[in-house]
Amino acid sequence: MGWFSGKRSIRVQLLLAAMFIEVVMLSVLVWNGQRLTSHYLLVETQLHVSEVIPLVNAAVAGPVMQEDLSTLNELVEDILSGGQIRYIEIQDASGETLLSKGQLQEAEWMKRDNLTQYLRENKNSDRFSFRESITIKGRVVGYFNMQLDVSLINAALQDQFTQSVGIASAEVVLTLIFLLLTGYALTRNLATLSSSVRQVAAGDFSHRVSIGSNDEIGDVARAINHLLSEVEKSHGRIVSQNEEISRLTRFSPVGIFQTDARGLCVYVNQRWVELTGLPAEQAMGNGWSKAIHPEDVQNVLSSWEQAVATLGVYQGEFRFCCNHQEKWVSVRAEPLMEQGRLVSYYGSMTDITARKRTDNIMQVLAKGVHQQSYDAFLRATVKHLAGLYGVKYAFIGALQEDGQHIDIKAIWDGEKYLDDVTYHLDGTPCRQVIDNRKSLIELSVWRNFPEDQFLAEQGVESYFGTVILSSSDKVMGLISLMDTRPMSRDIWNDPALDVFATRVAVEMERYSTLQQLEEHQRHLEDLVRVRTSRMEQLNAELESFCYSVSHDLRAPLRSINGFTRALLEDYSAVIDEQGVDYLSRVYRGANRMSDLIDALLELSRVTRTEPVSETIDLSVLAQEILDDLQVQQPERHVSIRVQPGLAVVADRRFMKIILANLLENAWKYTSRKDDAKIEVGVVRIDAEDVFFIRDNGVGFDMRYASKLFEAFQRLHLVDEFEGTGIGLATVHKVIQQYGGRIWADATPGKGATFYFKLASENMAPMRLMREC
Amino acid sequence: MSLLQKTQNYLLFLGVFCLLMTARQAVCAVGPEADRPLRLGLLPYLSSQKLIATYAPLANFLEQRLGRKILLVTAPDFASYFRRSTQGRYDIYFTAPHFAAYAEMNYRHRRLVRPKRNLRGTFVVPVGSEISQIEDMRGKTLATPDNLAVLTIVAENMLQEHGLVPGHSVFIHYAASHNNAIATVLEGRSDAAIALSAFYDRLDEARQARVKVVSMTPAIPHAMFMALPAMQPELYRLILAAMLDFSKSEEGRVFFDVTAFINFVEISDTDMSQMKPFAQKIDERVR
Repeated sequence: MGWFSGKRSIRVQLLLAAMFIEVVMLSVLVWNGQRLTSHYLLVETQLHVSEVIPLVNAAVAGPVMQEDLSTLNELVEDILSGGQIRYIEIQDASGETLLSKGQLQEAEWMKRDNLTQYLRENKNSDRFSFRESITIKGRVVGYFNMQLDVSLINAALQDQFTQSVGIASAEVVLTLIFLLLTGYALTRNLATLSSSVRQVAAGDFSHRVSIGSNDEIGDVARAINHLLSEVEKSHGRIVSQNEEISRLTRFSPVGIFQTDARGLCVYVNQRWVELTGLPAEQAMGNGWSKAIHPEDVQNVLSSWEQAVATLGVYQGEFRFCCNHQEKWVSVRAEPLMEQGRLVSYYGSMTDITARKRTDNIMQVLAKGVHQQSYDAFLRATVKHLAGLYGVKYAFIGALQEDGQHIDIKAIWDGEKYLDDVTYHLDGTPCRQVIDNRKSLIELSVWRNFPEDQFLAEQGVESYFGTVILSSSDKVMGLISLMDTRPMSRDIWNDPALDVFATRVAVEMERYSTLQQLEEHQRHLEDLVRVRTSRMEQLNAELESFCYSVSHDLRAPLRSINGFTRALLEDYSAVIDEQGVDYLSRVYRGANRMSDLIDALLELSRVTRTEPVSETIDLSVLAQEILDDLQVQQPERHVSIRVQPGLAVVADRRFMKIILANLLENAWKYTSRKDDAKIEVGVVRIDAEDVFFIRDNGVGFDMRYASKLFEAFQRLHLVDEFEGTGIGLATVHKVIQQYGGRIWADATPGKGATFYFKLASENMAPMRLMREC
Repeated sequence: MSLLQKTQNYLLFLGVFCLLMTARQAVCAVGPEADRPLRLGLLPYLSSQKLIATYAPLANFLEQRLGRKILLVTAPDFASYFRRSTQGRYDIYFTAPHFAAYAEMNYRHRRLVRPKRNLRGTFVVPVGSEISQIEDMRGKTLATPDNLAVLTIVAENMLQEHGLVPGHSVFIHYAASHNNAIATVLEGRSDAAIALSAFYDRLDEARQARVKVVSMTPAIPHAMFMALPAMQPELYRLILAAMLDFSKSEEGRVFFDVTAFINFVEISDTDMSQMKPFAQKIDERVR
């Protein structure tokens, strides 16, 4: 409301407020009085009518029923004489008028109960017209129509309204006069008080209110004066404290700043200026953002605006460009709230450049580890070092065994890697590094070491180097930084370069060890190669020998065999029975020896023969071998089952050796079974196709399974089952040649199963067939 | 055309005209008349409140049977009632038997029904009164209901029969009602009173103990319901039938229980003949 907006004096505001309330309350009072009076008058009238009408009814009912007009006339005149009823008409039960008296006014005849509602709705009406039944014992004997004078109600209400408004107006005028006088008396001192407060607000804490009255305002004035005394003292203390705080913040090692509620900078301390390189006056408002590194400025401003908008804590790490140098800072600012409103932000700023550099070093080191080669690691290291320290040159050198020369392993000149060279330590700053383990020359290096042509040619102004120490604290080399500008002394205490040196030392030792290992490996490989060659030569000679021996043995053996058989056939009549027995034994021994030689020759051929690969249907091959066996022993009834489609890529001769040996064994060891069974097929074992040959023959004890494939090893006596002991060894040899494997599973008396597989490339057709 | 023929033609025209007019009247009567409420006059022998209370069941019953509204009306006194009834202001009315006879004789009003119970008058005097017979009333005051009441006429006849001259040897006090007549005796304002026996019977024991009966009148027919002569015959028949059936209804049982009328019966010629002597005395009393 404009009246109370503070533009007017309190006196006027109080007056207006009091008058407003007075007028409103009096209006409510008058209105309520009218309402209540009207209500009670209407209720009273309704009640009065409700009481009177039954009496009238009782009085007129009899005469109406009797149609006694004279009595009715008297009664009606009595009723009208009261003045409240202006017109009355009496009708009999059929509605025929018996009598009417008074002044009839045109009206709508209503029910008596509608009196209150009618008067509320027709405030200016002076009559209420209603129709009522005349009854006796509930039976209607007639009706009367009446017009009730209600003008008195309206007159009463009008009088009451006029008088109430008059009284209220008088009260308003009197109140106005009283308030004017009182207000002036009260606010005179308040005005003085207000003037004094303004003076104090302007900063004059020495001012005192000059009111000497003994009323409440006088008390307030004295209290204010006392308060002012205290405020003056407190103000002095605050000024003093502020100066102290200002001094503290000025010399704080931490940058301190303050903003207003909008996030605009209003204060920075000296350290903040040092860290940013921005003068304090330029930092005010949003000026501080000018010093932020261009790559960080957008991110920082966005985060800061978000923190201010959400009244949250700002925390971040970013860079300032201080005098053409990057300064990493960590900033934290917290809002100061008063009564739920943001007042300002207070923040601190710490220099974290060194920590960031260390972090970078760690990252560089981590990256260096990932370099696959020793040279690449060293090169990456020198390049990162130069970048980290902002110097033009960085190199790593290894100290030669003589302790006088350095082999440059990697050198970076700010743009590219230079060629590795070897130089003598004398006349170079590197000598000081090797002798003192660390050396810093801040200025004029090239003047101090005129013999070092590199320094002079490149105009190297400053130099810093540190040694690379092995795990046994032996100097392995050095890391050096060089620049064409002066170098800061801070680098002397920077641990990062030591970390680099340690890491490089580890890498150099690792590389040295690796080189030794590689040398050993090369030596071992040479030894293996020589010895393998020798063994191959010996094997070849042995095989050749075996073949020759076997081949050469066959001729005399054939003679022994032939002549023994001739003796048995031609001279058995002249030789006694024992002699025949001896000759028979010789004959069988010669045959057995022949078989052995054949087997040995076959075994020998396996290693000597060059294989010819082709796709072979093992099913067909197995069936052919079994058919041959059946022809040789037609009396045998063997149940044979060969799974069709078994195929490999290999030399047919070798495959026949495998199948013939395994099937002949199966045929042989089932010879004592009436229901002999031989099965050839393929199974999936460990996701690989494996061929198997199964029989239900005599089997064998699995304890001797390891000897199965050794030459001349037999699990059964020759008397029981014939054999050379070479067959399975030959099979084993062939399968080995094909990169395969063979094994067996057997139970004595129940049979045996031989499994074998070749190298995967040989099994390819089998796979294809299975997929089809 | 001869005069005789002209006269015949004129008479024929007149007859036809009268016939047409009568028919028109009859037709008109059927229309608006049929909707008009029937006015049932009640002899003011009781107060208006009691009359309404007593005869409301009958009115309700007739309204149901006839399908027409019944208005119960009465008059301030017997004389007014008699006059209005003879003036035809009631379509149906319950009136004293001699009034009924009078109306039938002089105005051709039609009989309807009467209560089966006959009326008797009872002469009562205060206990301890020296009056023990009618003759003892000489010089005494006799309270009667009304000048026109049949019982008043009967009582005066009895006085005359016993050598007394009403108004001369016996002072007659018209008390307006039967109850009032007995009340004057109880209050000592009359020496004797004659009232219908029914009113004496309805006195409480205390009051009955304060009076004694010295004589009774002969039985006379009860009051009668009459109808206007112009009433439609069909309506008349309906009303007559309804009233004769009234006792069978619930309202009728209440009515007859209250009134002790027993039932409604048709009015006989004997009833009317018995009342004619009394009817003939009405004119002089009305004057």
